[in-house]
Amino acid sequence: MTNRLDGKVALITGSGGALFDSEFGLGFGGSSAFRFCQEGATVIVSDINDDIGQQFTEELKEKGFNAHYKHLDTTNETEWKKLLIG
Amino acid sequence: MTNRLEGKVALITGSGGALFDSESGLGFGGSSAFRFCQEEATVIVSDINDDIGRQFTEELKEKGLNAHYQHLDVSKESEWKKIINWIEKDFGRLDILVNNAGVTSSPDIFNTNESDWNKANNINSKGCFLGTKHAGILMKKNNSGSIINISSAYGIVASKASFAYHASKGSVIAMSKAAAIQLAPHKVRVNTVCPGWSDTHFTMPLFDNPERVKTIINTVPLGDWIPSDQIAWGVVYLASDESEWVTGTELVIDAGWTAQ
Ligand SMILES: NC(=O)c1ccc[n+]([C@@H]2O[C@H](COP(=O)([O-])OP(=O)(O)OC[C@H]3O[C@@H](n4cnc5c(N)ncnc54)[C@H](O)[C@@H]3O)[C@@H](O)[C@H]2O)c1
Repeated sequence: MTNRLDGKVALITGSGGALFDSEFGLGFGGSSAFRFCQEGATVIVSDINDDIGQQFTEELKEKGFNAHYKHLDTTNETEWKKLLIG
Repeated sequence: MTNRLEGKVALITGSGGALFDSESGLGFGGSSAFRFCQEEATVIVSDINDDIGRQFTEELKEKGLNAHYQHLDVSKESEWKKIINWIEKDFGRLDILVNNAGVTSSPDIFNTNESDWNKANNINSKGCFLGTKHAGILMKKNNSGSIINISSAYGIVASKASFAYHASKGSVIAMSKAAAIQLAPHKVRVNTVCPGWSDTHFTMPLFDNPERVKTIINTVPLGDWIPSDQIAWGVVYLASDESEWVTGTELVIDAGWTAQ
């Protein structure tokens, strides 16, 4: 655990599709979220798979990381605006 | 200071050409040597410029870093054999080789003579071949290793000048891919870094012509010279186990220049 992304806020799409102990392990998004957290970033995990996404975010938080979950269908501009601008 | 290269032994060619407070700052080799040391590698600085190379190595040692100096002209196979033997005897292993030594060659095709061609290709291209071959021989004994060849954005795209330089740097990219395939069974990785415009000793002569500097920078999307340290971070990544599954590819660090 170092601080290569200290102070940075990151959004990762499609990062909530698997849990640490899922059969195939984490995807690229989830693995990135984990490493980003370890490097000191604040990470927004997002996916269309809200159940698993929320659980995965909880798993990160339990490790003491700064993770947040948000629903995001990347094909939907309204959802992008809602997530980015509020 | 972290430990991304802990326990690794690294040789960096052309890394002794400048000191920390040189006018041009450190080159890619020197910056990589510094970052490698900070990431806890044992670093062998090498160059043909022995005076400065030794002084730079002393500067690293004074910072408490694990650095050693050896003379190496990359265009000579006998010198490669000698340094690799020395490394095997003294350290027992080589984990990382950075083939960074290079020279420029500015004439266009019609003004390039055989000696211009030979100089650029002997150092930039043959130097990478010899280094990859002899380091590869040692690395495959350990069934692991990472070789990073420094090409250039000029190895990907061309210009109206620098004919022999383009040829030599293009060959580095193709050679690295061939080496990556041929060394893969031995778990030795080979990748290329393609830097864009950076204000090192290499490009210093351009600064005599402010108009030329302005013209160059106007073509760079991110709008400035790339600090050599930025190249070093890319080299650290390819040298480390973070890139364990990366081989036969190019990392282009050019501020957007070849995306145009
Ligand atoms: N600076 C740039 O804009 C730029 C851009 C793309 C690629 N490059 C490449 O990056 C590499 C490093 O260049 P740099 O910008 O750090 O400049 P640099 O001039 O500081 O580094 C080149 C080093 O190579 C050494 N060298 C020359 N001939 C040698 C030989 N026969 N054997 C061993 N060492 C030798 C020099 O003494 C020098 O220390 C070169 O291969 C260069 O072609 C530079």
